[in-house]
Amino acid sequence: MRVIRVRLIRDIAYTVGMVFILLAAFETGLRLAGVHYQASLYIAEKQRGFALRPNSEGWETEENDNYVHINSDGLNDREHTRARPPGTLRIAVVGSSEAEARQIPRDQTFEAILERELSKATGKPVEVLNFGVPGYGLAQEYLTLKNHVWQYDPQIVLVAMSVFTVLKNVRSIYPGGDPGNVPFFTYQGGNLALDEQSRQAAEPDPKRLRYKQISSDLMNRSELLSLINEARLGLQRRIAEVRPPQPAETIAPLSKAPPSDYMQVWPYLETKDSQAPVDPRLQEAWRVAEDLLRMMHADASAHHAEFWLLTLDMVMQVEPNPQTRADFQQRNHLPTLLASDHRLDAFAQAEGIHSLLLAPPLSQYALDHKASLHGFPKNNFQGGHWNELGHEIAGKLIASRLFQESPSLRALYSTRE
Amino acid sequence: MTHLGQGFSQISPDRPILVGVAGYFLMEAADYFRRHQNANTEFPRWGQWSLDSCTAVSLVVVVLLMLASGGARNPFLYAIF
Repeated sequence: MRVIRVRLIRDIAYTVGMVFILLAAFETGLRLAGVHYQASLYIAEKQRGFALRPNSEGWETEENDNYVHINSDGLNDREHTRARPPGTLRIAVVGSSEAEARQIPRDQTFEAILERELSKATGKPVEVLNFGVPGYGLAQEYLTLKNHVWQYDPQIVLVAMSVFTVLKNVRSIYPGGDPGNVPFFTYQGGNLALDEQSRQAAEPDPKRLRYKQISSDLMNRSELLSLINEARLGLQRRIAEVRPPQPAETIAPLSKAPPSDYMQVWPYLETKDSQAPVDPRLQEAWRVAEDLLRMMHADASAHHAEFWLLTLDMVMQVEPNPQTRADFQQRNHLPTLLASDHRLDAFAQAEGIHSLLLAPPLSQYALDHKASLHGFPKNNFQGGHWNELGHEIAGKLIASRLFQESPSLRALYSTRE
Repeated sequence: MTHLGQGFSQISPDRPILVGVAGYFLMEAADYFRRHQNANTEFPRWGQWSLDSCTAVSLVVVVLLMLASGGARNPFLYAIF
């Protein structure tokens, strides 16, 4: 009897060992083949809905393969001391995925280029801190500024937003459908405040967060585990594709629903005849955007920091082929692709906010050099985020403009002599 | 269903030879077992169990590869937990 039991245990152990060896072989094979799957770099958060998970790391694979390290404070950036080093100019960049720039190595992002260019020009240490989080709207950016940025004591705050961000300000037209726990500001008694749903958002369960952290870290370190996660998400996507549309839409669509290609939202932000959007929800989105920018400006002023609005470009604005641009404008009845940008610029001027429109100079560069500033070989340069060239040109443009006009930089530069 | 094979083509688009060689050896191994399944080779119990388990795990991995990268991604869904 004992012999049988020993043999059974031995056979099970051998079998488990063989399976383990096979799994190790698959893991090695995936690594040798250079296979990477999208890492999980987020964590749920009550205040902003979600944030980057501190100390997480893994591959970004959607548009370009790049290894991303999130620092201990949840920034896609190197470590920074909370206290600003003496004699250093600190610039905080707040924004969405365009600012976070996980598609390319950190030393090639516009923040890194801005840092280098300004350090070179002033001869003084300059630090640019990247507070960008993919998917953030202005409400989350405002909460980031208010609750996270000031502990680093920056003298300049740059809010980097594309006109697409405007759509993220109203729950009912949030691009992509259900925004989940994303916070929204609405008007209550004429004042902008967090809406009821955002205020009542539950604090994420600490045990679940801990589990999430451990499981995500394990997954990000193993291609085989990442494959399991990717298959799970792929299965969900397939089910969503074949599932019939829900009959009772809780959200009434716009006169025409925003297209799935978020780079083609101009018809919803701009109209043929007027710069003012006609759909009341879009009007609300613009109003909320402007008031959130006012609140951010006021917050920066209260902390004696300079406030800049960087209006980023969108893909079609910097399309290197003029015919493609013209076709797009004609198809969507758009006399210009800059109406929303000019609207933001006019707002900023009226509010005394430093404003920089990036689309016009980037557009000129793209036409002159027939260069794609967005996209990567992986997607055949068909849209997406800035590539290395886009970051380089944008970083130099921002550095040049800041150097010319920023009082904080001028003060730093004047102490050089 | 017609797109189930997409996962394979996206396994490693920049290393097709490596993927091809790995696939070739897998096919050779499968063919070897097919040709010898009726032979009088007596596997020990642990060998038979290992073979069955590894075959099952391999099939699961194949299914995972097919499912991965399937379906149209929603460009607005950022924080998938």
